[in-house]
Amino acid sequence: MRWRNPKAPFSSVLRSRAFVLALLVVLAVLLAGRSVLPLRFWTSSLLAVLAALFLSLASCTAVQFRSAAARFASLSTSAASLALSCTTTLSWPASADLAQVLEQAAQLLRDFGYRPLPVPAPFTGLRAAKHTAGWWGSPVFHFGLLLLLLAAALISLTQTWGRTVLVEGETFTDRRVEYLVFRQGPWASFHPFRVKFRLDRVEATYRPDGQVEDFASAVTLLGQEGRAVAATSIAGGHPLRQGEVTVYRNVFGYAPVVRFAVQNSQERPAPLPFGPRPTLVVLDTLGLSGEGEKYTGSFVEPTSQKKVSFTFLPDYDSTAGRGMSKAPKRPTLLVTVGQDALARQGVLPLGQSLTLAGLSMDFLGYRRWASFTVVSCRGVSLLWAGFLLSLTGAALLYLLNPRWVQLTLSPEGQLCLQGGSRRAPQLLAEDLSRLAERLGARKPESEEGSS
Amino acid sequence: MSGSMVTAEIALHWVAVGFYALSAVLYFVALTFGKERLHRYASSLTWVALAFHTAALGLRWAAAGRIPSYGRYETFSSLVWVAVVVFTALRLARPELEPLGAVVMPVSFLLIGFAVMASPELKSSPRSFSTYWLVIHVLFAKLTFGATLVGTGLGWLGVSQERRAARPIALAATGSAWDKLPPAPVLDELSCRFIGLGFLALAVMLISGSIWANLAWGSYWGWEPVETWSLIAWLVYGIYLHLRRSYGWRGRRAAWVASLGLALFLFALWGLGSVFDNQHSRYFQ
Repeated sequence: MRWRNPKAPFSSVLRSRAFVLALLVVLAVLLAGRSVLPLRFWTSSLLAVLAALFLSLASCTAVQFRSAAARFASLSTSAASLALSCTTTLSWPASADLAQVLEQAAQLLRDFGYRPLPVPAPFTGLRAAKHTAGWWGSPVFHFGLLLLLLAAALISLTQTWGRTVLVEGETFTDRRVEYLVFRQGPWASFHPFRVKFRLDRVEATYRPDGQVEDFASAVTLLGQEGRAVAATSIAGGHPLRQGEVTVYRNVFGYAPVVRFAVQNSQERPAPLPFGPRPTLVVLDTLGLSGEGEKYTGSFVEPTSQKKVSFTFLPDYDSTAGRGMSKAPKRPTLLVTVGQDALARQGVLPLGQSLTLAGLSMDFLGYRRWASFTVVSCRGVSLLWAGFLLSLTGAALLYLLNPRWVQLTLSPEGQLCLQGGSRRAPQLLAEDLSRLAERLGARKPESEEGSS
Repeated sequence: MSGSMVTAEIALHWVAVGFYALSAVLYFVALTFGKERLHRYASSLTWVALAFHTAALGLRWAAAGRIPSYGRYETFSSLVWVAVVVFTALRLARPELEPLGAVVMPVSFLLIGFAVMASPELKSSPRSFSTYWLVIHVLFAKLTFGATLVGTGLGWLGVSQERRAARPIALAATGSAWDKLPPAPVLDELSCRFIGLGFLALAVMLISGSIWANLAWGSYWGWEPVETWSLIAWLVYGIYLHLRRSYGWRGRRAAWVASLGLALFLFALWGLGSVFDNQHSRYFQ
């Protein structure tokens, strides 16, 4: 195998066109196969490809920066050797003042947005370049991508992410046990007590057809000693930020308050909230279109040890036997006591009682619950920097097409127009043809070619 | 008030569909049978269609009180509108590219036909949608489609032009619409410029979408199918640009890769919603 640079075969591979292309193709294939490949294999393959891509990107970006800097430096010296093509030769009568023609050409080039470049000492003519900042486009774009990859890695290593559920009136104190689901990266530190708040109300708005339009959670921020500090709201697009901890809204549902009594036994005096903790949580199943919304959950009644399953329908239509909308117009519980063949089912509207399989239930009311995602991570500013740099680089790359021209005056009174551009030869040809036209030569004799 | 606006908007949409159909047929006939003068009529019909379409979308926007990009009806209608605007801007700048209508207009007609077959019911969006990140996300999604459709069309026109140039002179019809088109290398270069614009727009779409997702749900990236497949389409366009730059891919091979990117983008936009239930599907279906 022949390396581009035998002294550094590793960096040769990292920067090789085939390797970069292969990585991009493998990454696209891996992403496409996410739902069919085994998760462990997919995750490890993705990490390996991203790591290789990071190294390759870093290596290529360094070379691109060096190359752009070298181009800039060479342009600013008079000894720069320009790659030239697209030759047009113009001639003037012997009486013409060629120095004036050259001055006019310089002015025209300035009008076209070119800036003059230094010329070598024995050279009679001028050099100019345009949009050379476009050379920075590719390195800046790739550097932005590099930062994005770095930020993604930093976030996944330092992030803590948890989900919690609060019923109206409950307080969140950022203790680990309050999270239903909790994940943290290997470099993360948990943040107990950085944020404390009480959920006062879940406020939902409904469309005319009864579907939920939006919802927000009104919360009271609490100080470390538990005193109310401020009232605020957590809504979609408006998370609560407390230092490095951010609390996002998630979903909301209902927690019916039901009083149970086992027949022929002493009645339980206090209402039992059918509440939000893992075995009691009312699941949000987002009802199908036209069926209204359902919230389901199950519960083992402690005295009778019977399993009780509830379906809460905010707007129950007894004629149709199903929910109609998500607005709580006729809150109703569909109750199942027991399991399998012994299960007994019944309908329990708000404020009424029902007895099934020896278990008496009073539907006393309902409260809303809301779930929240609590996140803290480092690396977000790096992510933003990556976004901005990659967009800036892409804009430079796309909008600025570097090109340069060289006008050489021969002792025979001919002006040779040459130029170069890797990215936009058509634009260069247009510039040269406009220049030739505006200079008003006696006989513009055009010939396409390269020198 | 809103009801009568929606009725008028639906009628305007159907009129636009009719004009798009006529324009598509004329562009196609002009290019296939070399009837260059038909371009004038096709161009006028496109202007008329665009005027009706703009009025329809304007009414829709006013009636809904938000950018019309919610549900299949609005999403595809506005996609087509942006694609036709991109094409119109291009032919104003370079009238010799008029024959590109033979690619852009039939695709636009099919997509707007697909849009108006969906329910035109005015859906209200959640309040969390009223953020400028969403507007940026949606607008750049549409610009991606417009730029990549035009870019892919130019690529294939370049391929056809190249084949035509390679034919013996006796077989290559002269005085046809093809003569008006620039040579294949110019078409190929323009195609690359538009795909580059699409690549940039898709990057902005992905970034603004992830910022919005973070604000709404606390996560920049959720591995949602539409997100993932849009990223794949972006990677394919990245591969396209690398293939052109590093391996000098031009012509047919480049046009195939550009078409693959466009197909993936459309699959992400609509096809996925039909296969998997996802967060985006309720906005597209």
